[in-house]
Amino acid sequence: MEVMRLVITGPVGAGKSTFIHTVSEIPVVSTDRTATDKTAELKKTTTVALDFGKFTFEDSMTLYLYGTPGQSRFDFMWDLLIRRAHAYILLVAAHRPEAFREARQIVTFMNQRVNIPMMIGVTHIDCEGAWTMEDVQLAIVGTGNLTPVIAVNANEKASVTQSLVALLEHYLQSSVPC
Amino acid sequence: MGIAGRLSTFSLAEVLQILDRGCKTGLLTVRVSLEKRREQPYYIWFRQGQIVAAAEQLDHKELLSVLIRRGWLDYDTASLYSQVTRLDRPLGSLLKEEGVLQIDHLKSLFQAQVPRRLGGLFKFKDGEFKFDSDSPLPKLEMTGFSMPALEAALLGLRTHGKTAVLISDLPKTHSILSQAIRTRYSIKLNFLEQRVWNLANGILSVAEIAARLHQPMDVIQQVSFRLIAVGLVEEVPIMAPSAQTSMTWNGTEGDDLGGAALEVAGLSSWDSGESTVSRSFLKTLIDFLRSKL
Ligand SMILES: Nc1nc2c(ncn2[C@@H]2O[C@H](COP(=O)(O)OP(=O)(O)OP(=O)(O)O)[C@@H](O)[C@H]2O)c(=O)[nH]1
Ligand SMILES: [Mg+2]
Repeated sequence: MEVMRLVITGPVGAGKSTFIHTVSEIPVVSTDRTATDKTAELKKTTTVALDFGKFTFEDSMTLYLYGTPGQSRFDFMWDLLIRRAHAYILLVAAHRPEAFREARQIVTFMNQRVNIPMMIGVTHIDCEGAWTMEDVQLAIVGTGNLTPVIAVNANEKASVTQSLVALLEHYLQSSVPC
Repeated sequence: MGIAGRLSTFSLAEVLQILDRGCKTGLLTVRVSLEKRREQPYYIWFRQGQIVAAAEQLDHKELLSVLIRRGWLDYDTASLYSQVTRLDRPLGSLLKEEGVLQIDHLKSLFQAQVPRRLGGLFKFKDGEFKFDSDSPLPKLEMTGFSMPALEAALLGLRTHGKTAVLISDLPKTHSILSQAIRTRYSIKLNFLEQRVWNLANGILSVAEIAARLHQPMDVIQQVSFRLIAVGLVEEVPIMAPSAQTSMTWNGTEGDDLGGAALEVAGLSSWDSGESTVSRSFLKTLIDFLRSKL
């Protein structure tokens, strides 16, 4: 049985849990709890430990999806998840520039530990005050960076599927020898 | 919509950094909040990431009035220029070609108009900003000089950092600094900035760098903050201590949700360091996903 493990990370409220929920074939194992303090101003619940979803294809092949907790405390859970991942997606909400700094910190944290393919998924493009994809990219990774950046709506199955295809193609190009 | 937000959550230095890196052309409007709910707008124009002019009004008459005030242009000539609707070059360049102004005049005009005014903006901790890339450049406000937006950010923080930056925003003394990978930049750093940049190797902490350079901690924190704010250095997040995280593990409400979740997700029994995924796996998966679209 061959498996691939993807980590879905990003700042609070980017859409990580929703993303996994949208594509998982099993009910997502979620650890959402009532949000407190600052997060509560933004949303009712937040992920405290992780999200887990998966789907199996061709009988013996499975894709596992792991979502990081909302408030990036960078605890052992983060370390554990990323060290076992084959690739990761950083979700960023385009309409919350105040979270871009945190998004950059997440990338720094990950890149300190692993050297695996990553992609930026820009969510909430449809929301008021959303920055353009190009500007979100500038804010997170700057220019001259080969990280793919794509728009994704975590609520839409087609969009999430599309983003997974983009990540897998990027993975294929960057780490699989012929 | 474009680049917009609040300065309290997205600093002016970061805004300038993005406009610089993105080689943006257009108008940045910053509305700072004064006392009694009054607001003061500042307009800053960019051409390919360089700041070319700044003003507090949009009437395109500020530069001309400075020229009159300094006695470099008389009122009548100034009003003639102000009626020219389509200058093909910056007013400063035109006046120089016509022998009205010398290069030193223009330099001093630009100094007062851009770096000094922009520096002052760093003192404000809150306000709104909005960038409009469709706005035409105001030739009548332009001296012909320009400066990279990143350099303006660095200058502003050098001059006003001590008063403007909140202590809580400074990098922690135990934080590790690392040169940003996205750096491909030639910007003039001062001596101390250069030395801190050299030591930002992903291993040394702010405190260790201060010790190496025989500098007070707060000085190195300020320098580090500047380098972080303009995107040359990253503050590497360190792992939270495990005492705090065991709470998360057990869930915040006393249940064992963290542990249970790990069990289900097959995480507790994982051994790490598994190799890459095979090509055939990826191809099959991609086909499978595509078939669902
Ligand atoms: N309009 C819009 N809403 C979205 C989009 N993506 C996600 N959402 C919504 O964003 C909200 C937050 O999503 P979550 O999945 O809880 O976010 P999260 O990243 O898991 O949040 P934490 O666990 O607290 O970090 C949900 O209401 C989603 O439906 C998008 O592209 N557009
Ligand atoms: Mg979540």
